[in-house]
Amino acid sequence: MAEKQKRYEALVHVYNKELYRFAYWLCRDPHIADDLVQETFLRAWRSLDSLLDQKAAKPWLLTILRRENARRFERKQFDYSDVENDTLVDETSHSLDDEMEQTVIQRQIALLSDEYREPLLLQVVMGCSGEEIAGILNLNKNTVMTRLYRARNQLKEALSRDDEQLKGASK
Amino acid sequence: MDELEFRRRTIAQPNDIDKELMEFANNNQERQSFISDMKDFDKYIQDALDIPVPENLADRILLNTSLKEKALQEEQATGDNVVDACSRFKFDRVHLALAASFVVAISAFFFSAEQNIVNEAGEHALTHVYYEISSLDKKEPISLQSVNDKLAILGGHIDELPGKVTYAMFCDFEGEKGLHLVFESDFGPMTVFIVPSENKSFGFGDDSFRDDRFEGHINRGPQADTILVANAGAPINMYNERVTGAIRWL
Repeated sequence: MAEKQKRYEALVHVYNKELYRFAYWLCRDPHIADDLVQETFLRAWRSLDSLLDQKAAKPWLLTILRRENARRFERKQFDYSDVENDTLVDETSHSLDDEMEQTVIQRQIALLSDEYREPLLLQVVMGCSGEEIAGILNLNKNTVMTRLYRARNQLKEALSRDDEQLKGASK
Repeated sequence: MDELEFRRRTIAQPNDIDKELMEFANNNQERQSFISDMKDFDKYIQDALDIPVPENLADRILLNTSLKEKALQEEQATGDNVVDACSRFKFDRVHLALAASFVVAISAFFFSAEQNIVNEAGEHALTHVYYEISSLDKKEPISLQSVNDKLAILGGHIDELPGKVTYAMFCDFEGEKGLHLVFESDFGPMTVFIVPSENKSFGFGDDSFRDDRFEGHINRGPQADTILVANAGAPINMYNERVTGAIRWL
């Protein structure tokens, strides 16, 4: 029992922040992200015995979290319907310039389609390798690589478009 | 490898440049600076994704798990009792320890008048208010009609609140879907959580709670529990009566 508790606490401490960020970018709502992470760890606790290899913990937790996220669309609509307008409070930026730029790229990331955004989040936020992403998303590795390439390309293009618009506006 | 493949692979995994890519970029200024540009771009993406995480998240996860687990075990223990009275002799050590700690908690609650056990629902309410602290800054009034549209889903109706409502959102209150309201009182913004109590009630503990900044009170009701959180020093009893008196259940 104590052993299980210890393993669990270690998992929570290692992964809670990354999973929260991943969850946030999946649903783009701080409250839902919080709920998703809570629910993920609760389920993880209940089936911790099935996690034999500690090294597999990250993909295992991500699989639980993605399933939980999919499940919320099956639930009653009213649960979350009106928190969607909650805005993200960015406490990390210091100058106004930083803040504006962050918002532009954050908006562009949010605009990526799920099939491109998710591999990118797994790679950048969760630090997953191509093989791990392929395993979690049930895709082959080449597809994952193509999507990662396209995700970044779309971001680059969108940002340079925004740049040009800004320059145009200031003329 | 050709130029196109080099670019595709670098863009796909800028922070995992393998030996083959390194060799291809070796002695080529342009390719090396492409790798470096892509790494910079990735850092930029990473910073954008690096949103702030609620400070006490890990603690809340551990607390949530232990509370839910305890509730589940207690439920199972009660179930066992009903099915077969003899099964209580078959309790394993965990159940026994749990039962023992339950007895200790109950005794502590009833036999120590000085000891003030804070209800964890109160703690949760405070955490919730801090977590959504910006809800207290809203100024835009929300019509009673739209508050009632939401409350109707929980089966309730408000005649009037002692101040205009500035925030009304469904929220998760310890696993129950509740309504989170803020209204403007003469003593600053006050928060009300309306949480259906059909599935579970808030357990033992003092119904009043406070910290340096806020104080609050849990009002238990047959259909829903109402929790009021106000600035410390506000006449909370008066507002309690007015708020709980204003809610009707259908």
